[in-house]
Amino acid sequence: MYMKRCKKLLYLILTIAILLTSVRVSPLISSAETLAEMVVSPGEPVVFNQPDAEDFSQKLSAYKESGYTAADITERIAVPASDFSFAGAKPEFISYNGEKNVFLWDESIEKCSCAVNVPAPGLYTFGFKYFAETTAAAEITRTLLIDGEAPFEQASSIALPRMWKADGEPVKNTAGDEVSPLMKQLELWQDRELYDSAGENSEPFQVYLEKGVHKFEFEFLSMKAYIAAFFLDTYDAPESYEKVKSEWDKAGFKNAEKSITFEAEDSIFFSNHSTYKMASDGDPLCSPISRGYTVMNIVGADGGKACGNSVTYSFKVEESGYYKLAPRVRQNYRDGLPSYKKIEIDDKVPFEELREYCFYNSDYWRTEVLGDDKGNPYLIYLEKGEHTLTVTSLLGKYNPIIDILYADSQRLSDLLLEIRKITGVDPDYNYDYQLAKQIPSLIDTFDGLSENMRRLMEMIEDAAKRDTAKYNELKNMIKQLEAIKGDIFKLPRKLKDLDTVVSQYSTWITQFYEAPLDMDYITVAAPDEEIKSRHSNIFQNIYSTLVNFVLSFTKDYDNISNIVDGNANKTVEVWVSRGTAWGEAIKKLIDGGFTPEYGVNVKMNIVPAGQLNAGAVNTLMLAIASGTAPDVCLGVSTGSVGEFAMRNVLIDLSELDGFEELKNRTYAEMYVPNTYKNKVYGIPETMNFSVLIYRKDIFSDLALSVPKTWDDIYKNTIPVLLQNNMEIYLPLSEGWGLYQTLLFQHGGSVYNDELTKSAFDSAEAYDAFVELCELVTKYGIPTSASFFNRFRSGEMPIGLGDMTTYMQIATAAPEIAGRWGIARLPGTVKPDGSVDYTRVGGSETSAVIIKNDDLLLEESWQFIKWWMSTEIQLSFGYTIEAEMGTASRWNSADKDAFFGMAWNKEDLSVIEQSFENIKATPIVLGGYYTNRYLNTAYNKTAISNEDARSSLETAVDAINSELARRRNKAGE
Amino acid sequence: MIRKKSGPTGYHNTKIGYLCLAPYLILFFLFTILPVLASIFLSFTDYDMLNTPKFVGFENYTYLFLEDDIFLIALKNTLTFACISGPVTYILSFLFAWLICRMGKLRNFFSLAFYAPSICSGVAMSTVWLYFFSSDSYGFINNLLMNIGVISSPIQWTLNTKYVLGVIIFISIWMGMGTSFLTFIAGFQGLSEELSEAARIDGIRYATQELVYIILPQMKPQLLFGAINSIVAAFGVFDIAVSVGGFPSVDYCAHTLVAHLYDFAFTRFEMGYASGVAVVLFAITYSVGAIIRKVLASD
Repeated sequence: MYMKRCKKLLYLILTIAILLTSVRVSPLISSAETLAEMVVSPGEPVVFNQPDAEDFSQKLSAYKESGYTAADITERIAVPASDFSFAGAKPEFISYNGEKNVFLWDESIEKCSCAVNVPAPGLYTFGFKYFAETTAAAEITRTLLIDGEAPFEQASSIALPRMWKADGEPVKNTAGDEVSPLMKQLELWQDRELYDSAGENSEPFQVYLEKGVHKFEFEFLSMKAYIAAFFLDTYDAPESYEKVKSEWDKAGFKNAEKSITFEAEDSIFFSNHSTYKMASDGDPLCSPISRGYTVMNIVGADGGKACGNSVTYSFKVEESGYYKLAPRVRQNYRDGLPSYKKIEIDDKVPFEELREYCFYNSDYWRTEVLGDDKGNPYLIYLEKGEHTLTVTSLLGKYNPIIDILYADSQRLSDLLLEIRKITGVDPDYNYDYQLAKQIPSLIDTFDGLSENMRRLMEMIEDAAKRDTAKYNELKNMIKQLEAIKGDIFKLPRKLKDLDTVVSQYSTWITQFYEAPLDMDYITVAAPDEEIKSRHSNIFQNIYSTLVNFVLSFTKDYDNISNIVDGNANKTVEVWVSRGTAWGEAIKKLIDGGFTPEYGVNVKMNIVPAGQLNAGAVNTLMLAIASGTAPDVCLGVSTGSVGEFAMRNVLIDLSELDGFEELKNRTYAEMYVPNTYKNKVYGIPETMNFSVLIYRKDIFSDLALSVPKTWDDIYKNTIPVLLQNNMEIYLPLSEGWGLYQTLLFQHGGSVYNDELTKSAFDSAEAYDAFVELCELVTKYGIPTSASFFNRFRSGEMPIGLGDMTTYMQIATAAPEIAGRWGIARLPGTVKPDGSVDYTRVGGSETSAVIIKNDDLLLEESWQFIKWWMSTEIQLSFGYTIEAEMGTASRWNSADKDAFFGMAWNKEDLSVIEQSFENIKATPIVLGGYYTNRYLNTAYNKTAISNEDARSSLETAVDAINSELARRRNKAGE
Repeated sequence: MIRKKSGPTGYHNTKIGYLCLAPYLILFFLFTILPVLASIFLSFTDYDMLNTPKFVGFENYTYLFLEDDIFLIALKNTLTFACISGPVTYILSFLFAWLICRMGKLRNFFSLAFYAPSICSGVAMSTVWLYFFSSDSYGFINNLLMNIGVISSPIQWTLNTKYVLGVIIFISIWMGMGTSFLTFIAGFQGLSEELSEAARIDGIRYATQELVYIILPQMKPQLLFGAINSIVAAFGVFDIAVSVGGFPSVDYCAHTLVAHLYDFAFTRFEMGYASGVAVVLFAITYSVGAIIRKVLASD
């Protein structure tokens, strides 16, 4: 009875339970509409297309295979500039430097074109008669389309080279060292066929054209030039040495008797790149010898190694006849690999074997007689008189190697992205992701990569003829790939190793584009003369080293003053905290511009970076305390200006003559961190910018749009990235930097209006602070990561970066060239719907004048005004970038000088925009507490998970009490 | 009574004695005594290093003892540091010295291995150890712990206030086996064999018994020297703290007395106040040294 009742109860319960499950329970999120409302509608997704034109070298080989040859024409087909058609208004045609009817092609003329009637089918080269506009130094580039399409990949950026020559003889500085003169551009009309600027081909650009009218369209990319004409011509390929020699023999030429030798560094006629110039080497047998004191005795070193660079020498021979060329060279740069050079006499390659002459690698100097592998010298016929010898660095036989490296690094990095989409940035090593099944092409890709690596090994061994590091590294990589293929389960652990392969390939690509060769002197020798290869022995080397060592006790290495001339002029003392190259460049400008114009000498000292800042005991502070401080300091970090100003050791510059004019040349906010109590103590010298850097290809894959506001980032960017196991980079290892930007965007400020109390107790400050901490606590953005590496590998396809990061990615990551872009920093949406894009900004370094008893105020101020003038800043920027490369771009605080550098057109507008709403934090006595306590509050909240409100309030209290204490002490 | 005597015990030879001491005394005075005196003088002034000092009397000390919160934090940190790192280094040096002395052939190699870290600069060694203690998830220790599954997200060694002091103590113990170590080894060489033999005859069988009853009493001078060294060094720790924790460290978690005085001297430009802190530090170190001397002095 009892049991029956229980069973009934049980059945009843079961029935109710089953009925209940069929009733729909409303979900927490009520409807699809509400869900849609929560997602902020994103902007347009990024579109990224791979360029599809073929590389020129591949195109050329295709032409040759199809049997095309140079067209059969007798003379050049020229189209004068007056026959060009222009998209917009026609430019003014002027006479310039001896040519009539030319026009200045600057950025106002976006496109122009001309139609050419081609008389016969065949391969044509093309070129311009142009005059490089010499106020700038960056590359002149144009885009070419033939009949509406790009003939090959390099047509998207064709360079019109400039010609450079050393501006005078090397000068001795007070240390006794010779300093190479600055390179000056030659002002002349150039009539040349166009080559690729990366030295990939020894032949000029050629296209196959059918008979008829063809339209050539050009687009402006960068830098101005005067154009006189455009022409088509054909390329005469040089014939083999045998053929050429037999023809010369038939003409009855004989061996010459006398040899001549000329120093490479003295005979430069011109070079096509400003870095290819004279340098110094300490080898005891270099002539003239550079021992103890630097003497300019060679050509090459780091400046001439980029492929595409060429240098032309001029020399004179006394009699006509056969000569052999024997330069004294050293090629010890590359990892055992040879350098390929194109040798031309009088602008023409004499015969095929000199088109890609191979200089082998060796640790020592040698006199290389240009000849074939068996040691027979090449005899070249030269007429009596003047000749030129041009040496161009080429990629040579490395072309196919580069192609493989590019393609494979692309393939591998795409594959790694695919893998990371599945495993995430942080794979679980115990989980079987079944990668081989998920990515069907995985094994094939690995096979292809190993196969190519083997081919690379063969090619490298073939070229180098000796042991190279690359060969061994490739062996290792093949082993790694085989191991991975053997056990795909372990692949997630090896992702870092594969990343290393990609970055190794990129490094090699940059290395292969260098064909270094140092040249000491060149002997144009009579064929019968025996050329001995002289290289120094160990005793000579020891002696040189000894001399250098003894001299190091007396030589003053960081004084770059000139010889104070006897006119008893005033001397301004300047300290510069930058490297020697910068100091030398400034000094040359001073000698060439400031001293002659104002009659004031400058005694300059180079100081290591950081020695001109406040904080810690350093040179400047000690100098001021002991009364030996200089008059002017350049390169003082702006944060230190306030510190020195408070202690009353700097001159107030706001009252000086010409200050307003100087101030207007940069952004007003740059002066805020240089101002204390309404007096200006420093002139901004350099400035920085901050932008979002993102991967176009990854964003295109994920159909993401570039975020414009922080809300965008939180609601669109971060979720999509996290879903695909990627992250965003923000500089969160300390809070102060990003906090200021957020604070200003929320409408807050750091101090109250009187600058007596901290304004962190306002609602805006609290909101900004919470937003900052939530980046770590809510969105899990890593506080510490190497953005550069993760950007390359794709783990962090978007992040905040400053100019240093931007330049790093632009110069040191060739495998992602063209696949990334920059955008403005995100803004905050204001209650009225508009977006506030304010970002924190201010000058990076400043120039100051120090108070001391023997200060030459007028002359010092004159110097600073001269130094910060747009003209000098531009000139200095060009010089530094020319001497040290793109990565050392000069970020002058002068607006015109900053934007006058060779920025990428696309990026330039974003960078300009990023300066529009900068704001800086003012200097306050006791202000060091602000960033200190804010960082502490940030750390406590974001990392130790304490309460935001109480952390911030502790900070406010501490800051206020310190500000009050300092003010009391100072007696206010 | 004949006072002036020439000869081995006369006044004339006292003069020569002073002459021999002179170089050391002069340098000691110039570079140790004089700066201490200057510091004491400056502690009564307000000096920003670039303008002349202004005399302010006891104001600096008033602020120091009555109002400065951070001084107390720094004192706490330094005492923690000294109490843990000092004795631990001291005991470890002694133990290692003892073990190495019993090794015989390999003694020189191990001595070098233990002494080497202390010759290197604190900054250099911190850089090396920061590879291990990096806050990045690719840092050595973080990576190891994440791989074996102990933690799932990287430990912020240098940013999390809980860990910073620990890391600094660890590194400084590693670096601290310096001169005390060598002193102990020297001390061990100078022990007399007869006492040990006698002890063995008397029935000592374990090495530890020998250590406690025979060796320790004999080494009182070395123990004293080593103790003073370790304690003084522990009070003066600065470069390691700054390289690892930053300057100033987050929430002052690794702020030692020397860091505190450095902060006042070079960030806030109050050299007078910094000198006051320095005088206090000098007093503390001196008194601790005096106490140790009393305890360990040979009678």
